[in-house]
Amino acid sequence: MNQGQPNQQDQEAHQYVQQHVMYNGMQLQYIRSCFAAIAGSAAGILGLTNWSGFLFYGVSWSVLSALLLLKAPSPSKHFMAGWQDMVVNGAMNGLLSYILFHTLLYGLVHLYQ
Amino acid sequence: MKDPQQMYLDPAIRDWVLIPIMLVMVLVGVLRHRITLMLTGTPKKPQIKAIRESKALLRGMRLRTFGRYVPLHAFDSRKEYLTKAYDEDTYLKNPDAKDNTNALTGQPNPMTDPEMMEGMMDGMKKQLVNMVPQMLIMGWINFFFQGFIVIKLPFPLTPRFKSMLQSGIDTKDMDVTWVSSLSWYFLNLFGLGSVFSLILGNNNAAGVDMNAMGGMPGMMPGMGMQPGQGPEFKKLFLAEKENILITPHVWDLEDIEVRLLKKYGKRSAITKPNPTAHTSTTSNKPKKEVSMKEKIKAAQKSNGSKRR
Repeated sequence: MNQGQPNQQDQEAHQYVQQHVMYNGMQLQYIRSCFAAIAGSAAGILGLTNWSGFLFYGVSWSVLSALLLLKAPSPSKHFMAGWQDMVVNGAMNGLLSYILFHTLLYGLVHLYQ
Repeated sequence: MKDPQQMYLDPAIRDWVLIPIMLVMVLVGVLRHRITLMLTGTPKKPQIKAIRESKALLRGMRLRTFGRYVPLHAFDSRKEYLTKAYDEDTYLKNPDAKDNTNALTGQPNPMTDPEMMEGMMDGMKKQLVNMVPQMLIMGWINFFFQGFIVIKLPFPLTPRFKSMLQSGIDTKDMDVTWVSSLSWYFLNLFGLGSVFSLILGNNNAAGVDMNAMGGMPGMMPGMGMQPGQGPEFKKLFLAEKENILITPHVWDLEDIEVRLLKKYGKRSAITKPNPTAHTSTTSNKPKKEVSMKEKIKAAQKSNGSKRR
């Protein structure tokens, strides 16, 4: 009988204007793509190999997620789909671009002297 | 830790192989995107009956999910109308398509259903436009850039990959990390997806996604499955009808005046409220239920083991 407030807010989280949520998602993807490219380039220039390369990706990814979460602490207020979505979703895509740029710059800087 | 194999590569390789392959792939991707846009043209307007069919199903689901927001009489009238409509096929696209159904799947024949044909053609066109440039570029790379190393991968791989990544070079001792141009092609293929999304905006036809790559080796089973892919609405409607029939209705605003008064502290939470004139239908039910429950409890207490 006493459904009260929490249930209603729970339902409201899925009723946001779809366009805005999508727009936010696109912005996030833009950020992530740029970031993967830049991080890959940095790793390549630094000459990181093997596990330290992936570690660099993990560390920089966590830094990025931390910054994003600082900017948008409560996802419901900022029209986003939830913090797990933000962090985990693009990690795979970013990894591929990261590898590409990492290899490219590593080759350019360290191999061809 | 074994010492890493140091090799010096000719800078000419970098100028004439590495960068051109990347450039060519980017440009071909943009070209593919443009061609796909030209081929598919303006998105065609879907037929009204097809839309109505899918939206009717959504309507049933919405009634179930958000039924709390309407009072009981509204919910009941909607429930009755929808279950009747699902039964009588008022929302089906082709009510008399039952003649030419497949014996196995019970679905309309895709060859006679024109919209599904068009959907299939579009999908096939897209697949074609994606496949052909990939084949072409792979052939070009194999022809021109075969037999030498292009770049060193910064991460290690198992020796199993050697045959794939060093395709033209037959040495036994070289690290797997030194790769040929074909593997540089693959690396580009996967990694340029996000670059395309930066250049071309979202929904571009140039990026590779894992679904498409999984579809490439499994293309024949995919083609075989496609005619049976459209959802069969009659069955979905019947399932939805059952769901609606068993959904209970709890109105959010029931007892709202008591809750409001309690919130502002004007009434204690113990006593059961007296029904007012406005909520006559919905609050008669709790009264009746209470009396029934009390009767059952009294009967249980008095009879005890006899009920078992």
